[in-house]
Amino acid sequence: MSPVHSMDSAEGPLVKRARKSYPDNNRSVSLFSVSARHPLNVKPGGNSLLANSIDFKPSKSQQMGDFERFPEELLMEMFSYIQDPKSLMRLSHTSRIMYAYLYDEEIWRKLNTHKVLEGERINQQSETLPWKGSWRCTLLRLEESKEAKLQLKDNLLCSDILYRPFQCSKVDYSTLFSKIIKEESVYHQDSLNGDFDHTLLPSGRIARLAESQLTLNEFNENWSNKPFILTNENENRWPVWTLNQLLERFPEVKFRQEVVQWPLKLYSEYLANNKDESPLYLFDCNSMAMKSLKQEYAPPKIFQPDFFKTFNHFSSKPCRPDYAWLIIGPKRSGSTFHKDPNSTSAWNAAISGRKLWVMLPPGTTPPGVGTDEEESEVTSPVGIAEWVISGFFNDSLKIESCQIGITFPGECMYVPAGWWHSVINLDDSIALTQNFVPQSQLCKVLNFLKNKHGQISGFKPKNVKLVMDEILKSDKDINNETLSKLREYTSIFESLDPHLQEEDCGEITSEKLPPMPIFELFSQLMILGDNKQELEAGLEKLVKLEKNELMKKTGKSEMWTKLTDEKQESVGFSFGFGFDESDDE
Amino acid sequence: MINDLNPDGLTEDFEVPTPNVRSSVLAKVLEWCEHHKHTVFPDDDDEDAKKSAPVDEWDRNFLKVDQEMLYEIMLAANYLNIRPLLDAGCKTVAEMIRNKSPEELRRTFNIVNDFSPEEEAAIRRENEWAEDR
Repeated sequence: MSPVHSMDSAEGPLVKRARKSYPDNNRSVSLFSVSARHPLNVKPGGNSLLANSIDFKPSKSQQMGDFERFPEELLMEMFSYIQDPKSLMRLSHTSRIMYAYLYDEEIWRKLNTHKVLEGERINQQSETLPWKGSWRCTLLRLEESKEAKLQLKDNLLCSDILYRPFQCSKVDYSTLFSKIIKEESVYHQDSLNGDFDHTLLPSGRIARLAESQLTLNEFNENWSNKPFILTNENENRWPVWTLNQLLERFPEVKFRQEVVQWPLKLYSEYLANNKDESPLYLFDCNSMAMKSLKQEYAPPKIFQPDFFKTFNHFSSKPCRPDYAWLIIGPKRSGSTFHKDPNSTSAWNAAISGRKLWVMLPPGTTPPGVGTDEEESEVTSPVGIAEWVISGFFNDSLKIESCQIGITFPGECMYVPAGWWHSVINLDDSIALTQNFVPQSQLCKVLNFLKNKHGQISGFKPKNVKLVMDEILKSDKDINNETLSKLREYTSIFESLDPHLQEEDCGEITSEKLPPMPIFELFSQLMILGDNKQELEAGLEKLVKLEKNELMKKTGKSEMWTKLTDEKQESVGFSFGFGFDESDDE
Repeated sequence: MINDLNPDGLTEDFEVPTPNVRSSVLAKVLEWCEHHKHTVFPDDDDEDAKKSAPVDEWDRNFLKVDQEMLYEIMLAANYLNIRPLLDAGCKTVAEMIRNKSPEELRRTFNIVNDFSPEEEAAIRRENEWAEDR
């Protein structure tokens, strides 16, 4: 496919050919393209409406016995209380239908999670079993070929609770998103050829900009508030790690994959062969391997200025939250809608495999996602596949501000602070990502740290305390308010449960952790790090931002509030033109 | 519990429909509520820890009832969204399942075995593999 180029003959050969816009194709996905036979012949719930299912009623009730009376959700909940694999297996061996209910991967995956968590509670690592292609086989140490796989007849069992996760695990994104993939391949190719002009894109597409062309200034002035893809013609711009290469270098190194911590070798076996609706995703920042891999790439220059570096001002006492991650995941894995922590921005470079991005600006809640007014927490996450095939992806396309794009290997996505994003791996993928705070986004971070205490995450109370101790050693350049806040925290810290001192503050409930004065700490570190000017500029913007937010919330401007308040307070009404003086603390 | 059934926050009196809950079951449920009216239950946050915690001693005795009653209490607790009671019920059923052979399980839960000889053989093979380890 080539884009719609056109030669304007009148302009002659010396003028660069004029181009038409890229076509605005329909990008929606077909919701009827996903169905496959369940390995045990469980049917979708709708099939129970077919006449012949009635014939099966007696045999269904016999095969379920007492369990027939429970609604399916409750039944699955009950089974999740059975916490040893063999009991679970023996119950599955009572009838075909019971076999089918207990064949559900989610039950077995939960059982594994339970073992891991219980191990952590008693401080004992649970045994890591060899991967056998499914959680059921793995926990039973059963070869896949030895599974009984009892088949259900016709419409004996019609159940969405069993069929839907299976259906989601079979979703084929390359087919589903073929229209978008085609379009994005064109953009990608054109940008590699230096022949791409983002102004020709229809709405909803993400711009591509060449790393060699975008200056730091331009980034901060024009591009830091919207997503864009940074491209580079040089194929070796990023390391070209493949999974096999990493496997050769670090076979036994343990990486974190959500709840488990597996050696890469085991994870690669899982990656190649699993039946999960939402496959385990490797997100690692602290492994041995990551420490050496970090030396093998440099972030794009425009993303290097980063005000969160200030948390490592005292290099022997760093307190910056984890920010640099290696991400590995099989196709179909990915992350559901979220915002990056602490109002940081991020870049994400695809090393291998394509990633599809769905992004929405702050304040526009993604379809199918429940959140509170502050957009601080996602309350009802569904898996990615479920989200797509339920039609929420198509709903997103209708939102004007929604941005959708694909990063190909060697391309790097910029994710602005506060933007919602969901990422779907179209292939087995390796990526690098870092959170950072560019100059133009400083005031958003200041706003977050100052006004959203409860949502701050990633800081460890103990590391924060050590940095404060360091600051308090001298009281140079510190104002009294900051001084007293830091002192107050360091004294409260002693009473904190020792287990919690090294825990991520985002994981500790507010009753157990007094709020940490991170805003004051950050400001003070900025001053110590010779960033006083930038800080002041940021604080100035923050004042405006707070005024705007107040106005949005109350529908009244600050001035109006002030005027009306004054009216109430004093009988003599006057215009107090002093509204700029309350801002400097 | 009443608030759970009143999501609209009605202030006047309202009806709590409890279809299919026998009076003897409702009496049991109320007995449980009465006993636990001052109990502070842990947050739902750590679901896994909650599942691993042993059943409260009083609850254990309270649920020593015939199976029919146990099931109906669980269904009522589910319907009325009384999580801690449902939780205790699930643990009780899980205990009834633990360490029983398929044959014992069928007897306990009235499940009819209709496996063909081939299926029996397949099950046996799965079992042997798993049991040996």
